[in-house]
Amino acid sequence: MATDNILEVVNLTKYYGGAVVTKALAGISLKVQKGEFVAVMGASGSGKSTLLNIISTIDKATGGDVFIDGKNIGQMKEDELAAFRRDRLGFVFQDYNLLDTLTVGENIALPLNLARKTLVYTESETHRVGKLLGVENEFDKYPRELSGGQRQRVALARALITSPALLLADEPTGALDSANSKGLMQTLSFMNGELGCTILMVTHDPVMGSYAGRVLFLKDGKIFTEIRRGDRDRKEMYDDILAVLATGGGDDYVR
Amino acid sequence: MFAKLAFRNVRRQMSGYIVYFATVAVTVALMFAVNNAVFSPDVLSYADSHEQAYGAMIALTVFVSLVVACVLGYAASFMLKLRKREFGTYLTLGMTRRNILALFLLENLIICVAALVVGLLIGFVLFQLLSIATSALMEVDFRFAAYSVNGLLLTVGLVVGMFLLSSLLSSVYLKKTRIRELIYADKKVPKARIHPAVWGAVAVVSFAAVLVGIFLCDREFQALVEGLGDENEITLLLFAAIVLFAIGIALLHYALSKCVPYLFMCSKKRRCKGTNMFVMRQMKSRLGSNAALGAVLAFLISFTVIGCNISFIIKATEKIELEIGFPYEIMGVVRADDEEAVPIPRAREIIGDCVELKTEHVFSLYTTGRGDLYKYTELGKYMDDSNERDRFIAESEFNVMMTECGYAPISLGEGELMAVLSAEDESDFEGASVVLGGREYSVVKKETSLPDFCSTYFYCVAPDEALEGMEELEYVYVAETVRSDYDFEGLRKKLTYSIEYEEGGFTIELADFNFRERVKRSSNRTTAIITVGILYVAIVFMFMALAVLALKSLSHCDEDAARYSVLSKLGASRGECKLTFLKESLAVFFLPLPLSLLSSIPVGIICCRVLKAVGLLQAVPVVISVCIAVSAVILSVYLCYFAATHLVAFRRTFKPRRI
Repeated sequence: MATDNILEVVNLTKYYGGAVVTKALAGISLKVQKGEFVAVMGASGSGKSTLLNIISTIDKATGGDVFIDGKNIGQMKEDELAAFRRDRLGFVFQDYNLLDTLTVGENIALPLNLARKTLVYTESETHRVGKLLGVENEFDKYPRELSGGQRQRVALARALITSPALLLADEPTGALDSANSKGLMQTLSFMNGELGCTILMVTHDPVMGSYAGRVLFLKDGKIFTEIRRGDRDRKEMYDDILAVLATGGGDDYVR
Repeated sequence: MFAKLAFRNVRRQMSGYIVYFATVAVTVALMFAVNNAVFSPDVLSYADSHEQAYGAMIALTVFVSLVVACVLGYAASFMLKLRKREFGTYLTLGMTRRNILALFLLENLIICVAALVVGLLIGFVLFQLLSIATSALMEVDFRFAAYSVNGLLLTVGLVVGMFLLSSLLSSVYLKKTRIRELIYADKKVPKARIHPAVWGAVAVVSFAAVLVGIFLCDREFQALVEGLGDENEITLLLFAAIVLFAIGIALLHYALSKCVPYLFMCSKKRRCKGTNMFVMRQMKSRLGSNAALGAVLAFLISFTVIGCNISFIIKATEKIELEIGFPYEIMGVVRADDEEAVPIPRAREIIGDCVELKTEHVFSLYTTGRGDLYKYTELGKYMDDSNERDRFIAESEFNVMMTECGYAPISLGEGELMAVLSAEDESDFEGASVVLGGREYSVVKKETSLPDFCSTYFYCVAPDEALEGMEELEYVYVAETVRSDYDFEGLRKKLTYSIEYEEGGFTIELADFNFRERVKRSSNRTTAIITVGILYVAIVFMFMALAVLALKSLSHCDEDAARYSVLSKLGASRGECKLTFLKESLAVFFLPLPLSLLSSIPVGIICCRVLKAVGLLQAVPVVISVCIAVSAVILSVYLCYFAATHLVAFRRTFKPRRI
């Protein structure tokens, strides 16, 4: 495995069900280098969320291996996986998954609390990422008091506070309006471009996919194509994505 | 279609309904048992001669029914909350609100009918168990207790009434609530409107109110026992003290629910360790929003503790009280100059004919004709009773009774007297002396906890030679029987005599002899009913408190499942999540318990002081043992219930979910 690969997936398979077996992933292999911004796109049922759940150690694969930062997560025990999620991964979910009983500041600081970092370090890091994402004035509020865009920025701040090796985003703009979605994607682009954060994002929205440097297309549990942005601008990337979706991404996207 | 859907829903949601079902079934069983007890023929015949006691039992039934009604209503609202999102979804699919209501009521009806049937069956058994317990306490043979139609009708009526009331409230709610609220039911984390320091101050004031209530209870009980003051006024003050205590306990726990989480959150360092912040915020949210419930629970548990303590103390001290009040099976005091009374020789004949005796004695109580020593007693100081005369008993005769009753005989020195009082009071014999047979005798000792040999408030034990030539005032007859199962009522009738009052035109019947077995049977009956009654209320309180706690804990499972899922995704290990959940459950479950259990202490202290005042010092160790045992048993029951609830809640919160 190349040393600058943050993520390497080798022949990953996942089956669900007892009496009726569903094949969610049918042998996926991919690599994500450090500092890349990769989007995984596909129609509903293509296996993209399953792929993300396995990579994020929330679910277990039926076959294959997943290496994150050189470690095979399939061979880790449950407590090791918990520590790995805490220290090496960051998550952003569609429905934010903020703890409603904690304030914004406490939500952001939670991963460092779980890692038992010192109070001084926790406070300084919380303020740093809070300021970076423009939520430092909301620390005493509860998630319910924020807008959708603000909540997602808080979730992003929580994901970034441990300086994760890999940031995983599952439909991060799914619950946001277009203005907030654009704002969030610009933030993710900034984090990737300026801060060197490695991002793996699942989305069904070609507009959001166009922000990524590379887009993988899933269909029926397999990667059927991949496009790289290269030097092209976002509009050209967007047109390319649409073209791919029209040819094989599913009936939803055919004009 | 709705019936089919309702049956299927009940079957499918059995895990959620089971708690509701169990709560209703056990509630019905408890109510059925007490209603049968109140309307049973034995109790009704007892009520003919004890109007006040019967009134108390009816009040007990009403009170228990009210508490039960509240719990049933709460259980119904718990089920509604559990299904809110489902009903919202039905509405979005096109069902009308009427359809939803019919469905919900039909499901509730299925559960209620099933719970009523099961509850009545359990109640049948529970009633017999109650009868067994009551018979054991009365020391009579158990016989199968007859069921009462009135009791059954009352129970069914109450359950049906509660079902109808909760249905009405549910229909109002389902009619008014918007679909969005049903489906999304936004979780509100209310910001504290009142500063926690204010609640801290309220807690301090409430605690002071509790202490004042305890102090007033103690003072008024003492006054009641000593007969100082107007009885009605004392009873009123006692009631006020109990109410103050109850309000204080409830308000104290309400305030503690609001401010305790903030105390834990004071330390930033502790807050930021592991999942502590999460636990504290959960505690703040749960305790804060359930402060009223916590107050009610603390009240219920406190009075459970107090009720159990009092009922067991009553029963435990009854035996000691009987032994002290009746050292002999047959006791009588006949005035020497009473021509109407059955004379001692005749009484001895009658008693000898009716029952086989083990021992028999007749002693004399002598008098100087004056009350020289009586005026040193508390009654002598406060009551101007110039007719009251001093009574003396010979040391040798006194020692015969002391020895037979297992006490060490006394030995008086020259010129010494021993004063014997029936109860501890403010009698002070400092400097008390009297001239007997031309010689001065002083009271050197005061005894207040000896058996009541002479059935009188005050007498003195004097050396035999001091009583030579003194007038005999009364004769004391004491006898111990070989067996206790003799016809004491028949014997009492034979020893009864009549006195005609020609002026008033009426006759009264008097008996100078009393029988320990007779007093024991009567007292047993009363104390058994009081003990079982208080215990029953205590058990109902305890069960209701625990049922509500369990329902409350389980109603949060879905919300908690989502939160713990996030915690797990953020990197909290399974062990950490389990421990966090346990800490959270412990805090919510056990906040109402410690101070409530400590109610045993003031109960014990007040009871000890009362027992000391009535001359039952021997019962003090029993009181202490009862208080410790009651607290230990209640704590054990609480722990078991907590363990069961925690297990069910844990399984529901952490059940594997398909991602």
